[in-house]
Amino acid sequence: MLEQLIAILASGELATTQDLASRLSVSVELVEQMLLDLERGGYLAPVTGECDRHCTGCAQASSCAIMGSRRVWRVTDKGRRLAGATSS
Amino acid sequence: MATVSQVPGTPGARRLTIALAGQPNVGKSTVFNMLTGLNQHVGNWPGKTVEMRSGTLEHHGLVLDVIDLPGTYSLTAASPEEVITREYILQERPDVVMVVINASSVERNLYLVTELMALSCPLAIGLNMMDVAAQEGYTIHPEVLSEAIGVPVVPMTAARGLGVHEFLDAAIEVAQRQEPQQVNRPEIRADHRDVLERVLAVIAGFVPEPYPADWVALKLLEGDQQITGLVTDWLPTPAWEELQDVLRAHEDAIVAVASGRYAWISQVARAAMTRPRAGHVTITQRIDAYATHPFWGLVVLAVVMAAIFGLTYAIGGPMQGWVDSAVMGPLARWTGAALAQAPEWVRGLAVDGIIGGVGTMLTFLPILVVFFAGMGFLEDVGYMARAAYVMDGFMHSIGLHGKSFMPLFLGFGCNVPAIMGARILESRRDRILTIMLAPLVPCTARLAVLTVLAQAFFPDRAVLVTVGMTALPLVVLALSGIVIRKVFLKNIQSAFIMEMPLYHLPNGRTIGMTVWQRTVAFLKKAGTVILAVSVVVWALVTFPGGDVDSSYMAAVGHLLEPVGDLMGLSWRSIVAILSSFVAKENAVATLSVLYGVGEQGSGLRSLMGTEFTPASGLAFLAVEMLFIPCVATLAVIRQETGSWKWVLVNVLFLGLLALVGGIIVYHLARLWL
Repeated sequence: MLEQLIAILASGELATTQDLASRLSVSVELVEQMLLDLERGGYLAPVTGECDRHCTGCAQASSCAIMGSRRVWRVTDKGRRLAGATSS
Repeated sequence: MATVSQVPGTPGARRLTIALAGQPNVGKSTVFNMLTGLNQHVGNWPGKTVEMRSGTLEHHGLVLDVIDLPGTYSLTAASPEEVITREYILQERPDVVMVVINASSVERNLYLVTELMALSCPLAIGLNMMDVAAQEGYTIHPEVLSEAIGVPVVPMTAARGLGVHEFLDAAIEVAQRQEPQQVNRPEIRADHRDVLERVLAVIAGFVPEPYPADWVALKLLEGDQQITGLVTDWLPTPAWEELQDVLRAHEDAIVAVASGRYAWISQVARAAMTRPRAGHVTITQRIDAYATHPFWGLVVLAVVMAAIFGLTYAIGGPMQGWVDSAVMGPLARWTGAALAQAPEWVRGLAVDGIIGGVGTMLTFLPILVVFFAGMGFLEDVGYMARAAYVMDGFMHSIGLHGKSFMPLFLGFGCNVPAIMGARILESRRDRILTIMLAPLVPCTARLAVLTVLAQAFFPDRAVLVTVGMTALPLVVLALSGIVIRKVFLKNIQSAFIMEMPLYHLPNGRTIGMTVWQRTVAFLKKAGTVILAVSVVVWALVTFPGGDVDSSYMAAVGHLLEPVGDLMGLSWRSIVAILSSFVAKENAVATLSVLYGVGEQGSGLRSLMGTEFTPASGLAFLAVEMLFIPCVATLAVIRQETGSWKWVLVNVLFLGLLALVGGIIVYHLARLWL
């Protein structure tokens, strides 16, 4: 199950949690749990907290992907290595 | 297995300890309240700030102590709640753990069940919210679920009091069994079973009570820091070193453990549950069929943006006209009259510099407020994530890989975080390329200037002009992407995963807060940067002789005339564009000061036909959209690249792009307009 998810991520596209859920035939909530596990293992990294003093007091902070609540992950080097090992 | 104790004063009564576990929002508290009623005690878990609730009840001659464990999604020791839950179960060994799971989210809830099973504690499952699951189209067979897991599963709708007592009876039955519960646990992925065996062999004999050795082994493979810390103390050095060797050689074992869990969940859920049929699609799915479609998604995006701009002009336009003619015009005349006796430069500063510059910009506040509200609405209902997704698909199709998506996506708000967002790219070359291109994404300030000027110059075709001019830098970005793909970023694969929020009804308060924050930020800018630049520009066009054509600015401006001539723009327009380097909004304020809009009280609209032709007006907007970013963005480019060289490259690249873009737009527009 997790291997399939990693194989999809290896394709290098932007995927939504909904896409992943439908391709794995599981619920979005379970995909979110998988992402948390992969994040815990260092295979994914959340794209957050990159903003520093420049964003302090920024009027758009509430809606910004960095500062806001929208969650985005990127695949780390470790994740890519695993994906490569899984797909090969 | 079951603990039997005498209750003082109740001879013969047996006492059982029951722990209630579950993920957040599954109705666990409802079950706890129904079971214990008023016999509750609320305190804190020892040494923690997490609330602990416990209660007692008598049931069929038994005294039951019920402990409400904190709601947790898993037991990974990632939070105090998770540590409390697993430590309580391990150390206190309750007679049974009653797990409440949400029937409309069985898969996610089974994750916690798998972790509880690994703790080897007796379990009973309450399948709560059966009514919600039925409404959402799920069909669940509790008896199949029970068979598959090896644990009693009782359907419930706790909110209506249905099934709770049956759940309790099932739990008591489990607690009183003499033989251990036979559960069907998930197994680690087949290719790692020998690794698990090796870990078990190394730690065998060193794991103290009450920790189950097989659970400790799994946690070690998962890299659980708390357990790893404990094992360090338990193991003698040679065994610890051997363990380290095994773990280092299999650092991806966490995936094998989790994978086994997910395979188990998927298998159990498939056996016991039927999902909503294909016909039973949610509103979000129905909208997303179009909103995130590779082609229709772009059409929807264009239509949505046109609608936002259309609404902005329809509502904000007349209000802007009113503020201009009924407030700012009379204010300029009144100020001129009030300062009639003052030195001419004072009157000029107040009327032409301040009212002409900042005042003109402020008349556009109604338009901007409506625009901010429109964007706030799109964010709040959940559409902006789709817009980003569709844009990524577009970028991908023309060659810009997902790698650059995040910085570009952020650029729509402000180029500053966009440049910083490029940090997520590992290679310096990719980072620099993305940073160079990021300013081509139209930021909110640029869009605000466009919104204002399109309405002033082209009142009848403002929506068309605004949408077209928003698309222009994106098309240039796309063309750059094709070049970059061919020349630089070959075969780079990278992925992002994005959580799409469900669509929901807009919340007036949230949108109001967004509008308020952006309006305050705009007013602050008007009162500081725009005011300062307006005064400087006014001074430069007033001194030394009081006449624009003999001013210091004109002396410099005339040097720019040859550049302006290529696009049908006067030197004043070029100066206005240059002033937007400080902050994008200055383009509007500077135009007003240079053309004495404040004094005439006629607004920017009067410039079309006199100072601008439709072709040169479009060229002005095109240059403004493609021109070098504001000083704050350049400062961040310096910070992120660590070199002034890249700042210079960016200024030259975008300056040249703006010039070429302006010339092309001007000459194309002359052919048609």
